[in-house]
Amino acid sequence: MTMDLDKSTRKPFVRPVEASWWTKKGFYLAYMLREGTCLLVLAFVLEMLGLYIMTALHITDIQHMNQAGLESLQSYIKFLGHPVMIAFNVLVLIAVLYHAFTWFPLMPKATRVIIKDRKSGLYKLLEGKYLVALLVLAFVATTAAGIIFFYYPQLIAKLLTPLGLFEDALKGLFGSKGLPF
Amino acid sequence: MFRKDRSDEPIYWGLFGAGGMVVAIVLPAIIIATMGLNHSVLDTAMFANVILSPVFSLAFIGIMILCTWHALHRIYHTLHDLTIHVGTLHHLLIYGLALLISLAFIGCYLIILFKNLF
Amino acid sequence: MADKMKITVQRYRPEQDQQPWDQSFEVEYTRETSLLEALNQIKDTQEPTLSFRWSCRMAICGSCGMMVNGVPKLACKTFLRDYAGQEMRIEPLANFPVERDLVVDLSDFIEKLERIKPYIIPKKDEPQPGEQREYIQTPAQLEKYRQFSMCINCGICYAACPQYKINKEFLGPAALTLIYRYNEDSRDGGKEERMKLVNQDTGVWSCSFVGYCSECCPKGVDPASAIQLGKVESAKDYLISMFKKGE
Repeated sequence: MTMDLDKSTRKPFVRPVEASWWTKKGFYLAYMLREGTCLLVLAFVLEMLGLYIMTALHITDIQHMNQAGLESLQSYIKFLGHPVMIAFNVLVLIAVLYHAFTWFPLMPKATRVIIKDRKSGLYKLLEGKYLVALLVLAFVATTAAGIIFFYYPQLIAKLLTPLGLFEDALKGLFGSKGLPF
Repeated sequence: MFRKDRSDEPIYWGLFGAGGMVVAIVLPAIIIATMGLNHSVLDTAMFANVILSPVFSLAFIGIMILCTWHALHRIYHTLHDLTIHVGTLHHLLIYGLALLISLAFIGCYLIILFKNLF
Repeated sequence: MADKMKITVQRYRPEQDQQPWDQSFEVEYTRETSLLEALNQIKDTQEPTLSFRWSCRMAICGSCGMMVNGVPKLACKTFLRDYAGQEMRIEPLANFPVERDLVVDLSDFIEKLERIKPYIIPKKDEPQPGEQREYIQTPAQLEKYRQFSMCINCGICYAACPQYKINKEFLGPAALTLIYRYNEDSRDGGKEERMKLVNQDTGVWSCSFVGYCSECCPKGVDPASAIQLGKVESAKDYLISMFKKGE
């Protein structure tokens, strides 16, 4: 085949962009799953909004412990305890934990702390693992505190009451009625 | 706001980032607590005392509002990832929904606060 | 004793092909054989028309980026021994137009590199180029950007980036990394100019932190980190501009 050297044969081939690009690679799939956790977060927020709206609607009944009026709020709480809702919340929890453990390792990338190494005298980047450890610690502390507070409120009261110092503070924190014990 | 010479993403990104931190650190505790609502010692009276507290209630809606902006910001960007061209309409719908949910939380908070105070 | 590897290469000859097609080759390899050497072996002994770019053979020129089993890599830094027992499929670098065989058109990337002014722009109150002057920099100041100055402009991060795949207007990982690298250089005075590019929707805000660029970068530059740091800078710039409006 003879070619005319003055004539360009350029004909760049542009590969098409497929909407399913993220299914082609494990790394991309993990990314899309990470982004997808937000759907369950949103669903849980709506679940909580429902609880909050029910509370606001029945606020007078709650204040006066008006049993008849409290029933619809209680039925919403019962609904949250239904096995289907529990299963759904377990799913949300898994998604949120997946979010958390993809979120923490990325945080050090958005911060930069330069320190002077005592041994070598060289300047270097503070390793990100310390920040990750700090975040994981915060996560563990909050989750543990959350569980203890919601399941064993008496425990906290028992720990604090002997000190006598926090009684008024607790009352202020927990609203006009204070703790029910 | 809505300037031509620069993106307004810093606002949404800031809320997304703060929300992401809240989802990662605080939300697991709230989910676990919710799963136990019906069975734990936390009966309606207990629940009421917590929810009536202005401090706890404010913290709660703060957490929920940040989670909302976090989730909807991610949805907005995921639409783009699915090669859907996101324009002004998508922007208004998605961040409008975030605003609506935020206002609902704030509205309920104010009702609870004022009914509790007076 | 040499092992054998089946290498399938995506071919495209613009003067006669309507679209790319696959051609398979079998090559002998030893422990030291790189993919670049294997491709040269194919070109020398089996298929003289096979086209691909290369130069230094030591991961510093940035010419031989290509897709190896779907992962963007430098051919000179990829060894056949790591694929023993498998087959290898070689495609031109993703997200760029294919000129011929494994040769892609990088002009969009090169244009973006030019646009961000990847060189030190002297500060206004300091001597301009040509005037004699020493620019002193402490080790701590160097450390702020050193990692991000290792870029060899190979384009692998663009092939790894889904956001660039979807939107070619996106400035992209390497360009944004180099912006951060020069903005953080204590000798540079061009930050204000470059921030105009960073602050756009097509600047740092097109990045959704997939992170695959950093995974693939053959020089350990970590572009994803530079972009997130760039987002922080852009957010600061946004806040400052809100108060400076009256100027």
